[in-house]
Amino acid sequence: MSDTLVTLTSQEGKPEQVPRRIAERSTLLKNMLEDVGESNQPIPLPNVSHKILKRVLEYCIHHKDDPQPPSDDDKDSFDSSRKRSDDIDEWDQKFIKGKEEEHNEELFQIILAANYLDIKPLLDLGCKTVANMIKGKSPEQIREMFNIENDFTPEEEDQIRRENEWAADA
Amino acid sequence: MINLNLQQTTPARKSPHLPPELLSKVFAYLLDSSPSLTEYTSTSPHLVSQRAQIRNTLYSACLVSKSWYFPAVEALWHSPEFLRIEDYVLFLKRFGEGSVEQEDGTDKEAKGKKVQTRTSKSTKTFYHRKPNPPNPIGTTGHPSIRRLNFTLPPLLPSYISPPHLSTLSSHPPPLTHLSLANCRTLTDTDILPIVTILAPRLTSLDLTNCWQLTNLPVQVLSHFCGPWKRLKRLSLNGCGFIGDAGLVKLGIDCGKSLESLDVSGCWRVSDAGLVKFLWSCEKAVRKRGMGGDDDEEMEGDDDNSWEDDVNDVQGDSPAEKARYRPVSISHVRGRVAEVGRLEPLKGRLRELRFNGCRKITRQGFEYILYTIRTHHSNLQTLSLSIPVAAKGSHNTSYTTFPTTLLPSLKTLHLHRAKYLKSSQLLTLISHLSKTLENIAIHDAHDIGQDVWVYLISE
Repeated sequence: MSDTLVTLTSQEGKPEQVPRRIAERSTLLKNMLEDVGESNQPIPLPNVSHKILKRVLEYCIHHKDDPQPPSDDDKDSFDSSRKRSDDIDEWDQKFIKGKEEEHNEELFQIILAANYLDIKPLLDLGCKTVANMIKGKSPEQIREMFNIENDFTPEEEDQIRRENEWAADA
Repeated sequence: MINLNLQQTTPARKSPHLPPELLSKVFAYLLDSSPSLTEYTSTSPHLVSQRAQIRNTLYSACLVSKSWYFPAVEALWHSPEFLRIEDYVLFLKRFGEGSVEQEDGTDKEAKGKKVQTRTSKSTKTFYHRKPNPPNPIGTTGHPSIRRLNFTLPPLLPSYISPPHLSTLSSHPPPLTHLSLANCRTLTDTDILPIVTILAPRLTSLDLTNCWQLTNLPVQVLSHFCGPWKRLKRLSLNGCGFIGDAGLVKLGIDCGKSLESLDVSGCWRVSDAGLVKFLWSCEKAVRKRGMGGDDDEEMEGDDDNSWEDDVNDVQGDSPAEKARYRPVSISHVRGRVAEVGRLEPLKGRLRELRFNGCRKITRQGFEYILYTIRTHHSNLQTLSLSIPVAAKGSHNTSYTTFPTTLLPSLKTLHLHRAKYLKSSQLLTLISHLSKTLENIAIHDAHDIGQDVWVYLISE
């Protein structure tokens, strides 16, 4: 049963066939397949582009034999047990780095896709990478890095600086 | 579910936004990549600069955009840390202002609405304008605070003064953890307001070395925290004026939730008080498990060998005293052999530290271990000191140390080990070897090489 092929349809409507075992790395797909049972119907993934779907599947294929991670029911995200952002596997590092010119754009898309498909290790990998990337950067550098628009008014910016003055660098 | 319609993103190179819950995850990783507080206590300059870098990154993240501001400020203010006293001063200043601004914002809105109504009446045009909600930008930090730790930098505890705590209690944040360790100038009257206000949410309180505190704040804390059943960790280490009365009240009120207690260096805590605390803790858990049945018999209640050696605990009714009278040492030794056959009760306590409690006698010590063994079989961490011999006794070494009474522990801190012989230590370690992960032996002057060899090999 785990060798059967599952058809996933990306946002653009392009089908992608994967073994069920690979698809089941995603908790969303696993639950869906369990609910549906034996069916040849393609599974639509309207929130994932074909390019990102292929990248996500590449990750799932590499990690197909990994044990399933424990469920994270911690309510307070800052209180959870210590999780280091610098313990990334070498293959994972290369994978998430992708092509240099598209890296930052693609990274957010992979994180969103991992969140949507509920692939916890990939989501963790993406978040750790973003955490490492912004370490020691100024607001302007972060904005530039991820093409984020500054939507604060000057008054709001001033208010934030005053609020967090105690945390600003000496 | 998150909208991920990537085709809708019109600007050619604009990255999709991460939702706040994912940004919170990113910031959680960022916080955890810095050295932990325990590593940080070594105050190595390298660790301090790493910590400063993380804090500064979060500060930068607050200023990136509105969507980054809320999760970043939440992470930054969750457990504020102060690398310099100046930072703490700025924080405290902002702390008061931030909460006042929030209140003022609401007032201004309300005033605006009144004027509007008066104007409407005079012109006889009647309409209601919904007040604009106050802009949350720049005022979100205060409600995000969950942990406050005033132990670092090293001089900060001496700087903390009663007015600072008054600021905290007049604008109380929703704290779950509070550490006032080493704030030596604080007295009962300084602690009481903050403790009563924070009680509903408090899960951990560290009052280490607040030596001026007496039983009163502990009793008040127990009274207010008890009904909420949230207080899990309490450290009263070095609070020399705290004694049995506070401890017993703590056990009765907070026994349902308390998992860790440190009364090391509380000189006034006696064996009777500690035993009574252990009994009440377990009883509270049992009552909770059985739907609050108060009539059940405590194990051993029907025994006739009780002695009246601990009835000096204040504020107890005769019935209560009768219920908690501990047994004589001969009774304990008689029961030692039975311990293995008794079905152990499972109190909630996981960690207990009571080294340096001078009023604990050797007889009482054995009863404490007996009570732990029979009522708190889940205990994993124990820190104790070998009691000194009674005055006038020629035999200073503790030849009858009850090794078999110790429960299965993961961590054992043994103080004043000089009163034990090498052979006793060897028996103790081999008795605990199946479960023990950490052991610390203090004041072990005459320990033979064989013990160290055994420890290393095991």
